[in-house]
Amino acid sequence: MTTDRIGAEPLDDTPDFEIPAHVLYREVDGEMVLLNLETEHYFGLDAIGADIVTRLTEQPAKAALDALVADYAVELEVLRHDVDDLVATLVDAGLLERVEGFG
Amino acid sequence: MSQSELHEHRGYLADERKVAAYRAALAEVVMPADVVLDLGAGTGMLGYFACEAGAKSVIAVDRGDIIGLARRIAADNGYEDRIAHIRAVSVEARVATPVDVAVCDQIGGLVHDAGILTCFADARRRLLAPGGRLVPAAFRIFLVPVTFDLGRGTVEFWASKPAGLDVGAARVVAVNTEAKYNLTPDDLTALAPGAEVAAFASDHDDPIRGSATFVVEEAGRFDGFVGWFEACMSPSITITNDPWSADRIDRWCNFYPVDEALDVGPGDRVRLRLDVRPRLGVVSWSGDVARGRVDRRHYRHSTFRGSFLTAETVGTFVRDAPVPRSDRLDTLGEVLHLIDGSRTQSDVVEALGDRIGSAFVSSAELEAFVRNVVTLAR
Repeated sequence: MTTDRIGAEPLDDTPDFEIPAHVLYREVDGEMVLLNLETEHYFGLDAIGADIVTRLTEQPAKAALDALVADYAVELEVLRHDVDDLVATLVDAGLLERVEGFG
Repeated sequence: MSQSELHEHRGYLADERKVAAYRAALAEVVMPADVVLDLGAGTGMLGYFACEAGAKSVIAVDRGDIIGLARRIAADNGYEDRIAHIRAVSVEARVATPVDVAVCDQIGGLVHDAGILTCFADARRRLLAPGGRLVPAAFRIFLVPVTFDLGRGTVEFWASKPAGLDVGAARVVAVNTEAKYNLTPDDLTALAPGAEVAAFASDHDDPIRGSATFVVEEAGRFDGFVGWFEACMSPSITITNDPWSADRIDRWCNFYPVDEALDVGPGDRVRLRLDVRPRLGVVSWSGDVARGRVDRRHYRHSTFRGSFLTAETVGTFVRDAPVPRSDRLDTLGEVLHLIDGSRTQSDVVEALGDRIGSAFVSSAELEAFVRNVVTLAR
């Protein structure tokens, strides 16, 4: 399990995370379903999880966290904890990875 | 059986090239005293050919009610003593002793799309004797970039605002669908020579990956790829649905569109990566088009994006999430409780109505629910 905390050191506008090439994903009824072709397992994210993953893969983690804090009216540390858990789960499942060269 | 089902099976029997190839292949492969397994038997044709070839017995398996018709046809042709019929999904069929040969005609347009790979892989694991033979034994698949007006038109229809409605959401589905077309050379133009993308045994249900680079020879509009197979039926017999082959069988080909058509010219390179997951039923195709060193277009498609999915459906795929309780499950529990081995279906319907009839919008729905459960039980 990854123990890195995200959103610590913004480097540039490059997202810190990406969905690997072996993962297919799509939106379904506001949620996200991912298919890991290597494990042939499906994974479902609710609307909030989908929003977090979308933001983390479109912008640097720091910017994503700032936007999430604003949009969901939640304390940064609470949000960071939840996002860390989600990222760890997704990374362990091979559904998310850090962009090469990050960190 | 519906008229369309019967029509489908008529087509299988009427394809003289394919019928002759299966008959000749079974004559080569089947040895006297062999037990032959016919998976997805339909009317049972392949089992009769196996009997002609000298099989001691045939086990014909089909999930549909057509198995009753196959039983009748077997009797009408004098094979009732040599053919056993099992109504079951192929991967759930059981046999008393391992079989020597398995035969199947569920090849689809590009092999993965009609179930033969998963059926044969399962048969190899559970049903075939060591050294058991498969008909077909192996496949090669080919693709070629094409100009294909009908295929492009089918995609762009969804952007055309038919009936004045914005149905563009369906276009995403259309460009991520492997579409079936019965093709002749008049229907499309090959922009480059076709290329073999993968070759594999017929019991291969692991991922199939392949790639090819096509150098365009004919100027035209790149609409996507058309794919076909070549099946090795026996040491001396092959069949193909290659639209340009004079010997092609009467079988559709699969068209893999790209999102936006692109005009290409001689010397342009079209690269393709194909990824087929037989167990998942997912096909992905991606690549790029380049002129010299200039990238002109990248494309990435998958039937995963083209399938109709709802949150409810997705929930059945996600195996790591808790299965939620529902009123429907509770109703199912009631029905299962009522099925005690002595009640008739009518008894179950009546008792369920007395207990929880208000859970159904009508008595017809209640009866249909019970009938579905009873069907599962058989």
